[in-house]
Amino acid sequence: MPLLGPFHASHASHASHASHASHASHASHASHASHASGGSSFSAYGSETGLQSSAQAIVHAAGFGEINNMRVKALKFSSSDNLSRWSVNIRRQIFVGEFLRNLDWEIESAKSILHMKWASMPFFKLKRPTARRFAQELPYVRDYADQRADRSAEILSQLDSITDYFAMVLGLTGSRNPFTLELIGLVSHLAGQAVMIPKHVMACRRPDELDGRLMPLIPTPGHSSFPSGHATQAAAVSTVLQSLLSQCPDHFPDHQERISLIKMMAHRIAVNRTVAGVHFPIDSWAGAFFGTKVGEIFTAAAGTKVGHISAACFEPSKTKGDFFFDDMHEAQKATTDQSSGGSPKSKMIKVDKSDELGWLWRNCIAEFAVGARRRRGQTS
Amino acid sequence: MSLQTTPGSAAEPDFLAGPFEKWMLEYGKYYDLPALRMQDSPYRTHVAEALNGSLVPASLMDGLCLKDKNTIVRLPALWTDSGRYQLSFIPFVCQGLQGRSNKQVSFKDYSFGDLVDLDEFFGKKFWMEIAERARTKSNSGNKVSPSTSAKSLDNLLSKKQQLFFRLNYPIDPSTYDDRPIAWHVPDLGFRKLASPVPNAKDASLVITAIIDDGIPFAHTNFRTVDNARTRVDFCWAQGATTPVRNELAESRSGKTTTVPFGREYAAPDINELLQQYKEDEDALYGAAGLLSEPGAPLKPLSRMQSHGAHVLDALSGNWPLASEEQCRIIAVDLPSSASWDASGFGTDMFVLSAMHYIFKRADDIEKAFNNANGTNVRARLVVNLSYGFTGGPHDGSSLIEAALHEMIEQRRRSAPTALTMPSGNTFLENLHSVVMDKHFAATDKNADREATLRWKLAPDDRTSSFLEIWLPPELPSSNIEITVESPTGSKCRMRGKKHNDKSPTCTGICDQKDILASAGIKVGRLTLDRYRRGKERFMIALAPTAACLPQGLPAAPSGNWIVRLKKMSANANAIGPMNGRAKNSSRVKDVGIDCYIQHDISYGQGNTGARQSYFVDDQDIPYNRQGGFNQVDSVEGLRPDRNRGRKAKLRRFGSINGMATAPSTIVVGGYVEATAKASVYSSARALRYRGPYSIDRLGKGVDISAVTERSQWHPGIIGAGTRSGITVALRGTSSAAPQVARQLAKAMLDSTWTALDWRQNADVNYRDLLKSIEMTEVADRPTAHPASEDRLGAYVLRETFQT
Repeated sequence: MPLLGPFHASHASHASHASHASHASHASHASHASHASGGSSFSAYGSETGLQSSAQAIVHAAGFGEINNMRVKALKFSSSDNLSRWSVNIRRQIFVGEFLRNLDWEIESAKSILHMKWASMPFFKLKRPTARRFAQELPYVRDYADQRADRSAEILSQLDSITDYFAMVLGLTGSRNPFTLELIGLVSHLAGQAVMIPKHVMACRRPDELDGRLMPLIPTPGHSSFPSGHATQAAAVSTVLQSLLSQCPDHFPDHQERISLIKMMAHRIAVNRTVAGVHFPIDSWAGAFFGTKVGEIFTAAAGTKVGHISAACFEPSKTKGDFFFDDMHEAQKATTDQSSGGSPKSKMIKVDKSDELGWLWRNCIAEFAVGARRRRGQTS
Repeated sequence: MSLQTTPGSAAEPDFLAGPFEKWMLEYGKYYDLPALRMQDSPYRTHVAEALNGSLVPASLMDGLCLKDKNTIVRLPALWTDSGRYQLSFIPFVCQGLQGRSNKQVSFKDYSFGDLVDLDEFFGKKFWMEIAERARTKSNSGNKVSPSTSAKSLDNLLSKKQQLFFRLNYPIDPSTYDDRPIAWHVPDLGFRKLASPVPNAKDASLVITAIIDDGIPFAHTNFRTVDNARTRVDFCWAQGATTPVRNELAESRSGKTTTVPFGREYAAPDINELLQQYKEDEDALYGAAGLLSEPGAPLKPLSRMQSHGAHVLDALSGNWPLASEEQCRIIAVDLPSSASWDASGFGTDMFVLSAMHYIFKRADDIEKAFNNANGTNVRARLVVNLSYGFTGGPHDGSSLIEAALHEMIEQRRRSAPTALTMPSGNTFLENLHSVVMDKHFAATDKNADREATLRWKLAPDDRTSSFLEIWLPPELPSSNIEITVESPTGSKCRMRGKKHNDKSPTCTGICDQKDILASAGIKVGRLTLDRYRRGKERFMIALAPTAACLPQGLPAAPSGNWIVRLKKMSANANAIGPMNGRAKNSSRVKDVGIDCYIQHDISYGQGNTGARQSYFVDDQDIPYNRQGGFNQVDSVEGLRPDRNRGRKAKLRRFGSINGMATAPSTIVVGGYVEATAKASVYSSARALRYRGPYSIDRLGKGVDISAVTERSQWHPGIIGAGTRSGITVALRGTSSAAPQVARQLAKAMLDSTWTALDWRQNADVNYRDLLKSIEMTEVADRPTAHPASEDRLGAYVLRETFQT
């Protein structure tokens, strides 16, 4: 609270100026969440003090009357158009809430099965692997450690975020693609949040809990091993980006090749966790399946096209030992195919459109509009 | 044990193999094998040498598989030079069987004494079979070979063969292929050459062949310029998993195989793989059985860089369009696990079979080329083998050197054939010492004169260590007493033996003693053996020094081991100087006793925990006046101002690759591009210092050098990694040899020499042809200077290889 002296009490409108001052500073620190609170207008920053003193000096020029309420225009009520007015961080919280409200789950304890549900419809069935399966996979984790020297820089930089890796493949920059970068961060966050439920339910121990020789490259995270969070996030981002790109096929001259690179990058991010010694290959299998579903839901809710996704099932016994790019690719294509673990007659789940997610999606599409032909009535 | 046994009598195991085999099959296997992950393999590999100088036609043994109730012996496909080649070195895979159920004997249960069974098998079964085949052939009117006489066949029959066995690395069971061997030549898709070779008579065919480890045959650098097809005509991946576990093979497995282990990929196979997996080289090598799998030794193509990728890129990567049809690639990818034990135990059989494979496939390529073009040319072959070891006699007589040399000499009779090898990277590793006459000091007039070596064993070494002491012919072992003293003070003493039998066939272990640490615990073995051509050697094998070894095995104490050599005689001075001959055959005084420590590093993915032992010599000056590594020996007689009074036994000169000393090998050193000086590690030939400015050059040295370091601050040279698009910098003379091979291949391509020219120049390894390409003669420099011929050879390759 600035010390405005004895005049403060008689200028009730200062209250709004005070919050205006902090809002002004907020505009210049748009990405700093800590400034989100309207908070105290007294701070160490010189600008607040300067703003306030100048506010005092000039306010008289605006007169002393009441604001004409006939001239007050309101924003649209509950509109995604308003999203551009909020900060990235606030938007993320809104999107997360929007997503989680539909995410539910059901448990079949006796069979160690979890059903993840979207708007009460099961979209992903997950069965826990046996202890024997995990033990059988320990040799993979040991052998992959051979590549730690090669891949440690990637592993360490992927501890908290995978966005840079996908940004590299698509040539994204903060000035050209702020919304796509926001999209990748969001999808990654959603997938990471969503996979915590299966992790908690499945409650599977980490590789280094079963084999003392692994001595992982990084501290083992504080949550269960199966499914892999990184695999889920990478698969979700990969799915969403592929969908985004396929709606803008003329933006890049090497459109198909970039899609291949995205898939390979997602795979490598997942396998990096096995190299690090904190995941079994089967964790990545399940994560890839689940992440793909999360990505599909997101795309269906946000995008302009598909409103349905197919349900999938991860049955551990239907997957072979190591986690391979080609197989993951196949699995993503054939989620209805029994041999890859899907249920025989996959249900199609309806995914309602979300205005909020759609807003973000449209802004992302606009970032890949080079070469796009506008047809009449087409929304960008 | 004496060498009184006459050839032909029941063999004693000690005459059948050498001290490495003895160590490996007795104590060594408990120490070293678990780390190598091979102790359960039932597939042993050997090279056998027929000692009486008899040569056996290769055509009689090509792809042979024989068994009796105890033993199965299986040969790979052998090159026969259209029936003309008679060889004395036989590579083979061997399995032992026991019990009524024919249970396979695993490597860890194989013992030195079992070599007797092997010898008997050859004596009884093998030669009978060969003789039978010879008879069948001549009965049917085919001459077995132009020069095989009835007499030499009778020799085979009468079982007078005396064999010497070399034991090599076992074969990983997941890579073994027990289908019968049947040679098969696929359609390589050769087309008639388009211009600029319009005249068939001008067409030349060159083949660059590589034997290495971790070869990514699908890499874009080894495809045609339009990226449509591979330039690799044949690749034998010796370490690839085989049909039972291999996806690709399951779809195409036939009833026979061309190779007894690993998988062969010919150009049509590789092109098909490229079509199928065009987006994904990971999946390609996975399907080819070349990526790491649990339960099997790790494979180099799972990593981002490998030795073989870099070397093949230097040899034949990104070949220019104009000659891409005329310059073909044959590759053999050794099983990488065979390189994990750096002590020299590993690769002979694999390298020798690789050479046979290369020569055989070269003949197939040649035929296809001639058919397509209506020509009758012989393929000009350059083979690059970027391998080596530090031990051995260093005079071309080690078994593998002799075996490769024999093959090359045979092929050179009718076609240009060259072999390039690196000079080695151990110049500064303190692995070589020479004991000269003057090192035998006497404390008083009548005392025996004694020379001392200090051998430092590092702590925490998890593999065995070996030191070889080679006696020159003029100093027989009977005049020497050797004492090995451990850091804890216990001593092991051995006196040499007088030999009645001087014949070169008398090889084997003459004497052996256990080396004990305190309290009578066995930690090593001292052996006196006679190697090929009767060269005598003391070999000291010591157990690992690490604590917590498998099964509570005793560790050898780490620290300074003292080896004392004493000249025994009533009048020690009566033993004359050790004479030998220098390269230019003027008589040289005091050749000396060559001592080599075997290379012992943790190489590749083996994680063997090896640590290098080394000589300690307080006479040696490690740094020069400027503070850089001293790159000359500390011996008065060289740089007398600096080395006054010095008589170090430790040598840098003489560190030359022990596998590269045969006359037909082109030895390639490495140098720093920015300074034009030899790379500090680039090994060099032996020098002897008689007096100031009076130097003798002994044995094989560096012939020519290529860039292996870009500058002091940019180590290595850039080359391909294991996937298209990965580039890595690799250091070492391994990258120098293929650069020279590449230039030699290019020169061979354009050469208009006649067959006579080729034959005449073979003796100097086509040196005159090398001169025709961009070589710079090495400037005149002081002896042993880093930019002198002693380090760089006569020429340096100025054109640097750029990926």
